[in-house]
Amino acid sequence: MTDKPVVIVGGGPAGLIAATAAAEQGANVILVDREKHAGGILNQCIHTGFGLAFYKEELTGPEFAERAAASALVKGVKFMNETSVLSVSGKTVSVINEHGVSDIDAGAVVLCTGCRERPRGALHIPGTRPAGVYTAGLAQKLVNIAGFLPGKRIVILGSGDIGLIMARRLTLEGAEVLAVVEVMPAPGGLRRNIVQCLDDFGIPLYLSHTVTDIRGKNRVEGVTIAKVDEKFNPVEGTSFDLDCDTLLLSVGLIPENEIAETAGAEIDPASNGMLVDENLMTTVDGVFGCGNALHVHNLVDDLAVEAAQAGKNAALYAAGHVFAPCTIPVVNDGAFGNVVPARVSGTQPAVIRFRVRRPQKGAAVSVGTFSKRFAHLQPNTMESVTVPADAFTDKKEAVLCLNNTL
Amino acid sequence: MKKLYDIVIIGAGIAGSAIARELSRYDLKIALLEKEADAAFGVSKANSGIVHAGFHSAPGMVKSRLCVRGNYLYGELKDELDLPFERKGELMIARGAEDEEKLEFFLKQGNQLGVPDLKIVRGEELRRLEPQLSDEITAALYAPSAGVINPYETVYRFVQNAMQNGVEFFPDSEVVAVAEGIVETTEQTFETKYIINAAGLNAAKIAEMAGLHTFDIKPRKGQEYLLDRKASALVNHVIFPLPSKTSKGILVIPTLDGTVMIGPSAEDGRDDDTTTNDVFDAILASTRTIIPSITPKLLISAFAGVRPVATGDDFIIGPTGVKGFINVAGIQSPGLTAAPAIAEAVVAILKKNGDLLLNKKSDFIAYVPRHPKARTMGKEDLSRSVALDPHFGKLVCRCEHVSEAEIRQAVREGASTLDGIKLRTRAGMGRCQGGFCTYRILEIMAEELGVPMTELTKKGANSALLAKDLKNDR
Amino acid sequence: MSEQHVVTCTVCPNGCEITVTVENGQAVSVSGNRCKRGEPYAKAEVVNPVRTLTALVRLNGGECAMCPVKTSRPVFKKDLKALAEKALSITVDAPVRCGDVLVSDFDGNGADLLAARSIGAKG
Ligand SMILES: Cc1cc2nc3c(=O)[nH]c(=O)nc-3n(C[C@H](O)[C@H](O)[C@H](O)COP(=O)(O)OP(=O)(O)OC[C@H]3O[C@@H](n4cnc5c(N)ncnc54)[C@H](O)[C@@H]3O)c2cc1C
Ligand SMILES: Cc1cc2nc3c(=O)[nH]c(=O)nc-3n(C[C@H](O)[C@H](O)[C@H](O)COP(=O)(O)OP(=O)(O)OC[C@H]3O[C@@H](n4cnc5c(N)ncnc54)[C@H](O)[C@@H]3O)c2cc1C
Ligand code: SF4
Repeated sequence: MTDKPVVIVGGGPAGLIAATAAAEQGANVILVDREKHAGGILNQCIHTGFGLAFYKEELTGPEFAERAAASALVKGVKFMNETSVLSVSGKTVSVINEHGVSDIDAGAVVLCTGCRERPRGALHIPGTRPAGVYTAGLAQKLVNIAGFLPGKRIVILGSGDIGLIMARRLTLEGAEVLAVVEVMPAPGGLRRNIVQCLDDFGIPLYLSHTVTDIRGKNRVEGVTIAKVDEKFNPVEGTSFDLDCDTLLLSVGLIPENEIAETAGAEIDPASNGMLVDENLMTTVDGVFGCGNALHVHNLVDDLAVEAAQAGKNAALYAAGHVFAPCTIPVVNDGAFGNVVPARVSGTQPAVIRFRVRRPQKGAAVSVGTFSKRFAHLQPNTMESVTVPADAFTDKKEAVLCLNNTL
Repeated sequence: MKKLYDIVIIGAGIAGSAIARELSRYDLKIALLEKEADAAFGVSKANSGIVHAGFHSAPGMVKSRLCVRGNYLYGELKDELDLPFERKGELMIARGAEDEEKLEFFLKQGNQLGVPDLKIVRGEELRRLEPQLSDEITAALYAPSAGVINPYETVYRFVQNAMQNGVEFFPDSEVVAVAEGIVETTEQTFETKYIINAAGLNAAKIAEMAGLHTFDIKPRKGQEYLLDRKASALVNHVIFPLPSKTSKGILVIPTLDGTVMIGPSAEDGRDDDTTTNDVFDAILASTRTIIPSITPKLLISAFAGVRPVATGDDFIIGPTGVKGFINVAGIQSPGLTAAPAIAEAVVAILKKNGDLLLNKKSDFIAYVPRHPKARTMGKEDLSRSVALDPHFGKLVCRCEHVSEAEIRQAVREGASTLDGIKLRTRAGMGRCQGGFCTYRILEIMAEELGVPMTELTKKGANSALLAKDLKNDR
Repeated sequence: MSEQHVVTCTVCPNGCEITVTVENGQAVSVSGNRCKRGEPYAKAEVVNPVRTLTALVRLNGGECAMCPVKTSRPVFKKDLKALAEKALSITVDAPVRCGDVLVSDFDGNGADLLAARSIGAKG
C-alpha cells in the first residue's frame, strides 16, 4: 500500500476520465496539462457529436470537456494546469511550469498525451513553400479559439473528420471551400460528416484525386489536382487547377508519444501507439496509456471507456494490486490496421480494439474459441470485442482473425 | 537624407554576415543591407549545413583554399560566438578497387591543400565508425576535421555580434541602384567609401547596376529531405559518394538537431524552391545504397536551395573596375564553409587598398554566449532560468521544447516573421511542423511587435498568415 | 403517388441509410434505421431538413476572443449560413456560463442561442 499519487499526463478527455476513475478508487490523483484550461482537443471541436453514449446527450466538444472536468474536480482530482511534462523516468514525472522544474514521485502514471496531425512534409506534396498551408486542426484552433479565418478560398486535402468538419466551419464563417480532395477511393471521415459538412453546402468531394502541385511564392495562389490510379500515381491528362489562397491538410493523426519514449515504453512502429497489455499498462511497470496517444479514436465515447479502465487500473496498481502476468501476445492476422492490446493474460475477459484494413460486410472476428459477427466493418471506424478468459485456449499466442465467408 | 558610411555590405547571408562581423572589429561605420524581412532568408537558409574538410576541389581554385581555411576558422569562432558547430567527420565511400583508386586521388589532393588528419579506412575500422553502412562499401576516405553546423543560426550569431559591435542592419531594404560610392535601396540612399556585393543569387545583377558586366550567375538547385530523429541512430558521420562533375553527390548528413538530412540534388538552371517526387525518389534510392536501413517513412520535411554558380565555377572575390566596389560573388558550395575565410580575404583587400584606416576597436566584443535553450538545458539550469524569467517555464513548441522566453528573445533580436522565429528557435521544426505551436507563437509575436495578428507574415511582404479577424473585421 | 428517398442519418455516428416513403408530400414510413431517433430525422430530411447549428459569437473582455454557441434545437438547414452570420454579428460580455441563453428565439422558430462553453473574464 502506498499513498503516492497517480499522475495523469494530459488533460484531454482521456486524462480527465482516467483521473476521475482513479480518484473513484480512492487514489490521490494529480492531473498535469500544459494548457490553461483542461479539455485538450475538445475545446476546439465546437461542433456537436460528443457524449451520446457516455452522457446520453449530444454535446459539443467544450461542453463534454466541461462536464468531464467538473466530475474530476468533484472526485478530488488536483489539477496542475499550464504545466508541461518533460519526461517520465521510472515512475518519476518531471514537470516544468512558471515556478520551475520539479519531480513528482508517482505511485502510477497514465499517459494521455493525445495525438498530432500528420504535417505536409510527411506527405511530401511537391511545390513551393508559401504561407497558407495549414493542418486542419491548426485551422480549427485559429477559427474556433482565436477567431481568425486562415484564408478565404480554401482547398482541403484529405477527407478525415477534422477536414470535413472544417469545410463546414469555414463555410459558415464566410470562407469559400472549393473542394475536398481524397487520394483513396473512399472518404476517410464518417459518412455523416460527408452529408452534413459537404453535401449540405454543395462542397465537391474528389475521391481518388490528389494535389500534385502548390503554386505561389509568398502566399498560396493555387493548387493542381489530378486523378490517381490504383497505385496512387497521378493519371496523365486528368489534372486541373484551382485558384485558392489556402490548402488545409487533413491526412491523418499520429499518436503523440514523446513522453512515453522518455519513459522507455515500447512503441508500435506501425501505429506509433504505445504497446500495452490488457490492463492498458505499457511495457514500463506502473506506466499506463490510453486515449489518442494509444490509438486514434473516432469517438470520444469509446475513448471514455478505455480511459476509465486505465485510470482504475493505475489506482489499483498504486494501491499495491498485482495484475496477472500478460504473457500471451495478441497477433494480428494481417487484416487489421492496428490491434490493442498487444498482450493478454488469459485469466480475465479482455477488450480487444481494432480497425480493419479494408471494408467488410458480414465478417466474423475471432480470437481462440471466441467469435463475433459484424454486419459492417469500416477502416475509418474502430470496433471492439470483449473476449472471455476461457477463449484464450492457446497460451503461446492469441491470433485475431478476420473470417469473411460471404 | 543621405547617410555617410565607410562600408555598405549588400546581402545578409553567411558571406555578408561573416564579413560584417569580421569588419566590426575595426573602427568603421558599416551598414548591412538585406532585401528580405530578416537575415538568412537566401541561400544560406537552405543548404546541407556541412563544414567541409576541403579535399573536394582542385588546388589553385579560390574556393579550395578558402574552404580549408574556413574550416579551421570555425574552430575559433565556435569558441567566440558559441556557434552550433560540431566536428563529426566526413567519409567519402568507395565500392571496390576502381573507386578506391579515386579515394587515393582525393587523399593526395587533400594533403596538398593542407586538410588535416586524412586517412583511408577499411573493414573493421570503417564498420566501427559507421555500423549501418551497406556491405558493398569497401573503403572510405576519412576526414575528421569536417563538421556540421546550423547555417542560419550561424548567420544570426554573426549579425547579432556585428550589431553589438556597432554595425547597422537594415532588413526589408532591397538595393535598387548602385554607383561609385552610392547605394540606393527601396527605403533610402547610402553614401559610402566601399560597397561589398555579397548578394548571393543577385550578385551579377548588383554588379550590373554598378556598370560591371564581367560575370554571370547561373542557378543550380538542390533539394534536401529531412528525416525524423529516429534516423539519427543510423549515421554518425557525413557520408559522401564519389563526386560527379557538378556536385558532391547525394549525402547522408547527421544534423546538429539530431535529425538526418539526405540530399542535395544538383539541377542546373532551376532557381525555384519547389520539391519534386522524381528527385525525392532518386535521392532516397541513392541514400539506400549507402545506408540501406533508411526508409521513406522517416521523412518529416523537405526543402530546396539554389546555389549561385558564377562563370568559371569558382568564387569571385576582389576589387573591380568601379572604385570601392568589391565583389563577393558566385559563392556556391562550399560557401558556408568558406565564409569566415571570405571575410578575412575581404579585410586583406581593404588593407591592401590602404585608403581606409583599419584601427582595431579596444572595446570589441568577441565572446558572446548563446541564449540558453530549454531543449539543451539540464533540469537545474532550467529551474534557474525559470526563476530569472518565468517565461522559460512555458513550453510553446512541445516537439522541440522551445520556451516562451526563447520566442520573445528571438523577436527582440529582430525576428519579425514566423520563419524568422522558426529559424532562430526551431519552434515548429519538429515532428508536428508547427501544428501545435503556430497559434501561440503568433500571439506572442503580435504582443511583442505591437501589431494586429492579421499583419503577421510567414516570411515578409505578401505572405500574410491570416485572412480575416472574425472579432474585429466586418 | 408514393416515392422513396434514401437519406443518411446524421443523428449519431452510425450513419444509417434510411429509406423514406413519401406519399402526397407526407413522409409516411421509414426503414433501415437502427434506432428510433432515426425516424423523425429521416422524415424531416425529405420534407424540410433541420440541423443543430454550432457557431461563434464575439466575446467582450473574455479569456478567449470568441465564445462557441449552439442552437437549443435544430434549425432549418437552409437557414444555417444566414444564422451563422447573424451569430457572428453578436457581441456578448464575459463571463459566460455554458448553457446561458444568449438570444432567445434566435431563428424565429423557437430555437434559442446558447453559450456552449464557460469562459471567464480576462485578468
Ligand atoms: C478535430 C476532431 C474532431 C473530432 N470529432 C469528434 C466527434 O464529433 N465526436 C466524437 O465523439 N469524437 C470526436 N473526436 C475524437 C475525440 O474528441 C478525440 O479522440 C479525443 O478528444 C482525444 O482525447 P485525448 O484525451 O486522447 O487527447 P487530447 O484531447 O488531444 O488531449 C491531450 C492533452 O494532453 C496534453 N499534453 C500532451 N502532452 C503533454 C505534456 N508533455 N505535458 C502536459 N500536457 C500534455 C495536451 O495539451 C492535451 O491537453 C474528434 C477529434 C478531433 C481531433
Ligand atoms: C542545396 C545546397 C546545399 C549546400 N550545402 C553546402 C554545404 O553543406 N556546405 C557549404 O559549405 N556550402 C553549401 N552550400 C553552399 C552555401 O549554402 C552557399 O555558398 C552560401 O549559403 C552562400 O551564401 P551567400 O551569403 O553568398 O548567399 P545568400 O545566403 O543567398 O545571401 C545573399 C543575400 O543577399 C540578399 N540580396 C539579394 N539581392 C539583394 C538586393 N538587391 N538588395 C539587398 N539584398 C539582396 C539575399 O536576400 C540574401 O539574403 C549549399 C548550397 C545549396 C543550394
Ligand atoms: S438511425 Fe439511430 S442508430 Fe442509425 S444513425 Fe440515426 S440515430 Fe444513429
